[in-house]
Amino acid sequence: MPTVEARGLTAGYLGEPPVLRDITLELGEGELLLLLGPTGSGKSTLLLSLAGAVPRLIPGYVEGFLRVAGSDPRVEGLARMARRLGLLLQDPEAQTVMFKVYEEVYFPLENLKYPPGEIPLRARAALRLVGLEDAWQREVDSLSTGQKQRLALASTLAPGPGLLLLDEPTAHIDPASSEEVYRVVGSLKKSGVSAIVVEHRVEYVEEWADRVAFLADGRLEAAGSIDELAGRLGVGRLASAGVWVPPRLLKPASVERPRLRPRDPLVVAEGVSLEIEGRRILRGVDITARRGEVVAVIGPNGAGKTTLLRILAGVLGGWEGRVEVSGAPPEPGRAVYVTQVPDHQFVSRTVLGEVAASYIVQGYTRRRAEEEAMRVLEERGLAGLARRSLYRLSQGQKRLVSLIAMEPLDRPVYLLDEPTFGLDMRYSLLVAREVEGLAARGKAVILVTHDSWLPALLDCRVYGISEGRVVFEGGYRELLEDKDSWKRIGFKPPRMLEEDPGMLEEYRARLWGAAR
Amino acid sequence: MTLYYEGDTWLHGLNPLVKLFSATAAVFTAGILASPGVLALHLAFSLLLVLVAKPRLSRLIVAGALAAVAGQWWVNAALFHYNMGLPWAEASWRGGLLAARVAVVILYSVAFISTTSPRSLAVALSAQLRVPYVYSYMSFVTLRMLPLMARDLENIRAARRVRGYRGQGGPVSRLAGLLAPLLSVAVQRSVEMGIAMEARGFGAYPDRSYVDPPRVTGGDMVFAGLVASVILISIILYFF
Repeated sequence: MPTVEARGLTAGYLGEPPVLRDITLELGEGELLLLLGPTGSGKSTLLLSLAGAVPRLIPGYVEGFLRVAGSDPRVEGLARMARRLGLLLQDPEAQTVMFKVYEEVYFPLENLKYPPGEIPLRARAALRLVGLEDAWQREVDSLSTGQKQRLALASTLAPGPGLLLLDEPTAHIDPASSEEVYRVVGSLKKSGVSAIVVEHRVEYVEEWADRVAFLADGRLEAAGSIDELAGRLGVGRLASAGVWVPPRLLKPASVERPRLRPRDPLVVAEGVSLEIEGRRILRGVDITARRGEVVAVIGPNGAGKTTLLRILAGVLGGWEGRVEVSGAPPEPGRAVYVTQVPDHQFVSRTVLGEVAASYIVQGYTRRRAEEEAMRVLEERGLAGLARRSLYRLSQGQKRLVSLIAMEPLDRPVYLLDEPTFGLDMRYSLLVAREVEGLAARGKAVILVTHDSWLPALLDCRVYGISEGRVVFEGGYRELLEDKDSWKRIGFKPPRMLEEDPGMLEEYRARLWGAAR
Repeated sequence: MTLYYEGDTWLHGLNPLVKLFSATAAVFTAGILASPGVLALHLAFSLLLVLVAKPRLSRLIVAGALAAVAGQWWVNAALFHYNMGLPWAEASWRGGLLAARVAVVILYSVAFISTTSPRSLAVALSAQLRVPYVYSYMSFVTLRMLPLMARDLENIRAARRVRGYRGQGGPVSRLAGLLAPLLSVAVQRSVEMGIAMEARGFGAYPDRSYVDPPRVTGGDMVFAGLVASVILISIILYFF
């Protein structure tokens, strides 16, 4: 009997047209289906419908024949399906409920009324599987984001579900942690666990996927592999849907990109150290960034990257060392700071208002500010979003707007915190283009990221940070050759570059070609 | 965000419900039988409990508590003096008695909250008092969200300072402008947390199992006995 069987499945949210239309899907024991598709295509809705969250928890409708792990999830509901089905979402912060690591893994087992004597054994086994057994007694808040996601996975796995539904589980975590998550999923698959995985970064899952499906306009197109799917739908369609199409399938193209010429230093940090609540976050960090240069600070979740950026932005005090931003100690207003969560910096309701706010703070009248803001949006082909509510944009759109809205401040230094956090390929490339544009206009851009793939697209200098220390400094090309540093900074390049670092230019030509 | 800290004091090891009921009974006794002798006894006992609990209080909280007691004293003394025409000495004495009640409430609360984890209280409420666990757990999950919201607020304010944005309109509009992004993030996170909790079987059955259900031990009996003695002495002091 198939683990998942759906025929004529139509689903949507209350009072809205269907997101999924007449979907037919079958998944056997030990099979893994990789689910791709553009933002808003219904990938998450499909997973939530299979899990029973829609319509039991989220008001909506699910019509058609549906059988998951031997039951109809519409009847059972999400909570009762938990013994047979594990659902893992994007954001680890929103999935960890308890204060201690062991409590987090006990949580589903106690809810599902496992015998008390069995619970610690199952919890230990689940933590061992994700490599967190030693963290048993630790506070959940003391874990890095990557570790929290592995903990959420352990909590999902503890009841021993036969089916996993993973909704972009690596969107918030570094490549090394992402690999770890999929290593666990791969080992479970071998033991007969089935999985449906929504993941933009095809490379992580490709080797484990038995089938690949593309969901767009509410309809599902399945194939045996990404190559077969690309052959059937066209690489261009997958790329424009934001799928990180393996570069081997992309055609190299000559794309005109700005030539960066770094000049005098605008940011100088020497021996920067910081301790917060008895914990050393930074240990003698030295970095510089020059006018017309992109500097990428990379490292695993929890390495101290955001803390460093907040010091440079002038919003965090108590540090030791010497820091100069545009020739003076850091203070708010000296540099532009783009936050990790776009919502945090929004001050308006609409996209136009948000961009205009950066002119208003410079003394423009509202009318003049809105005219300038409209010009900025038109230049980037985003005029259609001008009147849209910020809070109804997709994550990719929010991120792009949060970056564009800060450009009119026109300060010499731009500090970007995880600018491609959770973004698909399409929006990552748009952000990368904005970053290069800033440097080409003579700005010093420092971006901190756990994403090893973004710096590959840029002509940038890289600082690798691990446990608050700079452990690598050099170009991206040098980093590709320095495999000793990879593990320390949680670095994992795209597979094409991992196999042959000499392919960097070829890789860029293929990716930038897809952005056209 | 919560006053609780992990520790191994005697109070940490006690049953949350025994502590809760004992502290509540003591607070009511001090509130109702508010003679100078009773209040002095409770001040001494609650202070002793706080010393045993060794709470880790920030300067801000200590300052806030002291300000609350001092403010209560001063305001009541002024009211007794100006409204009832009592001389300052007597007004201060009566104001002091009222402030002492506030101090007793604060001290008992600190001793209880700083040694009782939200989770252990939720477990005790469900396992021992048969409160549906869905309700008792929801309260402490809300507490779990508070540090995240505090961090969001800090980030929002930092982003505005960097941008040079001081808000528009009056204080209400400015506050609304600050709350909009905070609520947006909080709602997104709450929805995801709700789904994640149900996906882990939360609410699947009316009850659940507990690996280490709370029990009433000899230590709890000793503690309850101590509090009962203090209450008994209070009654004697007040009526005889």
